[in-house]
Amino acid sequence: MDANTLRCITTGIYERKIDPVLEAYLPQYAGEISAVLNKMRDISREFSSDLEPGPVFSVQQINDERN
Amino acid sequence: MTLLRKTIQELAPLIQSKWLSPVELVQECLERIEETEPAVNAYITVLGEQALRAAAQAEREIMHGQYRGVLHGIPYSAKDLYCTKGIRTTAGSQILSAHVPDYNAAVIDRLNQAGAILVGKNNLHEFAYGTTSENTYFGPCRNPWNTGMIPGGSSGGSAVSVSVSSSLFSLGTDTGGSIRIPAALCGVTGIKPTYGRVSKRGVIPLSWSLDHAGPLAKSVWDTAAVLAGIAGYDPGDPTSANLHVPDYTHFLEAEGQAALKGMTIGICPDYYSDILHPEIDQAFRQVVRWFEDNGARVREIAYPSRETFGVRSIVLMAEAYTYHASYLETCAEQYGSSVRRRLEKGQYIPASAYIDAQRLRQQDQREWAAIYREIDLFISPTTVVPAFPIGESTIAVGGEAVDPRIQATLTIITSLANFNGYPAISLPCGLTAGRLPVGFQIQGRPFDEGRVFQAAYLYEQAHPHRSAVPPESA
Repeated sequence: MDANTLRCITTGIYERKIDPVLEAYLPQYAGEISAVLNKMRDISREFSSDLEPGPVFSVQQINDERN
Repeated sequence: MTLLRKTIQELAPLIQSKWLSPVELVQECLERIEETEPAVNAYITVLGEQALRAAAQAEREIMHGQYRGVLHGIPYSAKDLYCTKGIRTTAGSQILSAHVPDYNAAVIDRLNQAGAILVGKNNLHEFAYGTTSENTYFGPCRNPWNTGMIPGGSSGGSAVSVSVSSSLFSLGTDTGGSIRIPAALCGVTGIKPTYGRVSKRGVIPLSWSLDHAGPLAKSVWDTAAVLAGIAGYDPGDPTSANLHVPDYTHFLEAEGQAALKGMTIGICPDYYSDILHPEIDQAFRQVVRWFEDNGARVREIAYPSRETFGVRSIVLMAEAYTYHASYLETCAEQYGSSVRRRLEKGQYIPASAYIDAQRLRQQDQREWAAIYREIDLFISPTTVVPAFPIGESTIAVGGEAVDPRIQATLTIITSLANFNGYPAISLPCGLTAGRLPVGFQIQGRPFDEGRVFQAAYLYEQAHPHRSAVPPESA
């Protein structure tokens, strides 16, 4: 991931103009986002396939645990 | 100022017995705001005449025998994220500087029904997206213990107003620690309740699945009383839990010190010990020793790992960007620069990463549920560093220089309870050598705020930290 990729996302997907303030930070964002996404991918490789995205928790889950 | 030094627990009987008028109390509060604001900047809007009218109404009701409860006639403030009908609600931003809602947040309505008196809207970190409350548009909020220091955030003004007694309690919000961090740095008590315990309807969001609404006050009893008054099901909030709300103050002295005997308390020093400020480390060790000396069994747990700290922020980045997308498109230049920098990053999070982060959350839920089969409470320092100077470009955390506005430092510990939704309270446990407050945190099981308050109350009653006041309160 590099600054140009992020630039394309902003202008191509969100159809926004890049202003100089945002442009200046793109290389930094590219490094930071890349690191976070790589880490998430590493962690998600260990997930079991039946692990669903959950809500924070459900009241039913709490009631089940209490019982 | 004498009246404002008292707690709600002390003032409520005086009001109920008609010994003290709400008008007198609110007048003193408004004078206190005027006295302290030049130094601390805790308020964006102060409601002088409106508050006095509400106080006069409260006085009439009480004189006619219509006492509504412990919050009747008590002056409070609210973080300027809570919509208040006819009163500007700015989110601490130039973008909403003229925004006047035509409705109240659900919690504001509840407090109106309880007879509490709103005296003002508190300063905060812009749109709650930060932990320093260095607000570029309304000016920085300042720590009353040293006005050159941050008060923490994002509910900085809320914590400061309680700390200097310019309100008797305040409403804050907490997405990664924003009630508990300023509570710790300003030497007051604040609770992030269980997710869904308090309605967020009418509260300007930062991150929907991480946001919590909750109170800050001077004492555990006061915090418990306010939470009992604002918690409960709201059909207008889809995340609201339809569960009974107990009177939390009844838990505080239920078993006395005996409540701690046999209690198992978990700690996880591996998570923070390499980056913990030595004075906070020392204060927290004394907290652990106190629980042990009073009959609790303290055991180390091996969860969580700090490895997941960065990826947990994926949820926050994506949700915050989504809320702000239209503002960023139309008026990005009106944001403070550090808040804008953080917001813009969120647009680059792909959907699959956000979903994986929510799967991590499910896994995290299972881990904590298993841990709480072995422990009753989990305690930790609230923050890894104490307050630091306003405008400081970098601070030292674990030997590394970090920019606290961009890299999450103050939220390292507190954000755990946002990710899992469990209730967590911060209360004072000492001062550094430089007389800056230190706080520790107690986290309980979902909807078990009673036990959290009970343990916090027992600690508080045994320690004199509550009576320490900042120089700006002198």
